[in-house]
Amino acid sequence: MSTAATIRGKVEEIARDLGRDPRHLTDDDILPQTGLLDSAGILELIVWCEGEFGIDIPQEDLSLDNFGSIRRMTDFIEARRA
Amino acid sequence: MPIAVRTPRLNNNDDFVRFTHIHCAPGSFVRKGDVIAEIETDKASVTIEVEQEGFVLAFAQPLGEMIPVGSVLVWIGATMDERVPDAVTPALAGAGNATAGEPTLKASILLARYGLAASDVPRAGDRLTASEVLDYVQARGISAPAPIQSNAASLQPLELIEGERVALTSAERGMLKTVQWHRDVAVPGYVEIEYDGQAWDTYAAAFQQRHHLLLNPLLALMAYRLVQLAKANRKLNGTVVDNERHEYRAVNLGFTVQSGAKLTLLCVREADSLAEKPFADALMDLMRRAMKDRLTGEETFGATLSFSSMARWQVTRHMPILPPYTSMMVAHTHSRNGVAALGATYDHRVLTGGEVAVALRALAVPESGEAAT
Repeated sequence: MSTAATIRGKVEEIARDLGRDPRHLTDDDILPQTGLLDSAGILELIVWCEGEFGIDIPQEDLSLDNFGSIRRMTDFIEARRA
Repeated sequence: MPIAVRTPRLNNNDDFVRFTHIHCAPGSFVRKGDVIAEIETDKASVTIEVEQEGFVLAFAQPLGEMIPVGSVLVWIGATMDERVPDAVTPALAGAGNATAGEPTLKASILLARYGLAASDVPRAGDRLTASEVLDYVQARGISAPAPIQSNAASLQPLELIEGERVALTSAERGMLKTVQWHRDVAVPGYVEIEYDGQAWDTYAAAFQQRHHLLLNPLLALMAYRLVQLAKANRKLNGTVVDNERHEYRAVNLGFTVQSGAKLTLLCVREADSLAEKPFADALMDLMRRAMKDRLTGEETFGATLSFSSMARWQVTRHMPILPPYTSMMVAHTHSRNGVAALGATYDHRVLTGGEVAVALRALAVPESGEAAT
């Protein structure tokens, strides 16, 4: 499974846990603006990414540029793993 | 008012530690940083340092025994003659005489259950015993309001229903203690107000944009506002010890984080000394580490005032359980059509419903925001 698909699966899982429908989410949607995940949900996603992909993400890297969307997360994580 | 030095948590798994050494006998003068005692678990041994100078008035726990994390370990006073609260005054006659005059553990539990002080009950020997307490209450027909320890399972006809016992996790044991303190010690009340969340939403959005934040800081900013309110009104940041109100000097903000099935109350220590952005950063960092199960003992202990939100689950009303030795926990909820409920559970021994309502009304708007409905 691709990095993007793996991340998408987790986003959808967290969204469903919160009672929200993630079916229309695209890889370029800005997550904090979609209302699918709240702040704690995004934090949960980031913590999960660290474990799933074996990377440490410093606090200063937690930005919209790096984690605003599934595509941005994918690019950031793949760059860190390269 | 004497200052309590509490028993710190050494790790997440141990709710009790052994009190192993006394370094400064009652009556000693100590300065900030002086080692006063030692505690240990199977995995670690640490020294306890005092954070302010003063006189050692009394140790509140028996030397050599397993003692609960969070309990008062020792009282420090500005003068030697300050009175130590009775309920936690099993004072030592000296460093080498740890238990003389002190009720036994079972007796202490019974005293708390029946609302008695140790001095109320005559004792024959050095230590007040459980049987002496029971004799005393039976002779006077005193009844306890509720059993100190019970759980739902014990009320079931277990012998008739097959099942298995599952050991509680450390977090579950912590929650059990919290709800029992709420039930057995506090006198909880609950009030709530309706408010228009628009002012807060606008304030948080502007803050997020100004600081280029990934995460919506709404809850952190509301929690910070609560800290500021408690800084201005110290009754919000206290508890009752014996018949006195204990107002904490610092505001240690408790904040609930749910990670999977685990609910954690993390603690931003001395939150009143932080500015708004550093507070929000500190809270986010703690939340993240809570989700990784990497909080230190200090970061899960010592809350003096708390904030809880269930808005993410679209919960429109919830009544939090008070963390031990606190008088208020704010309940933030989901907004419907722009109107939401802001509630609080409070300890009626410390606060009135009116005082809490005033605090909630102030919390309903950011300091620089527009008026609430």
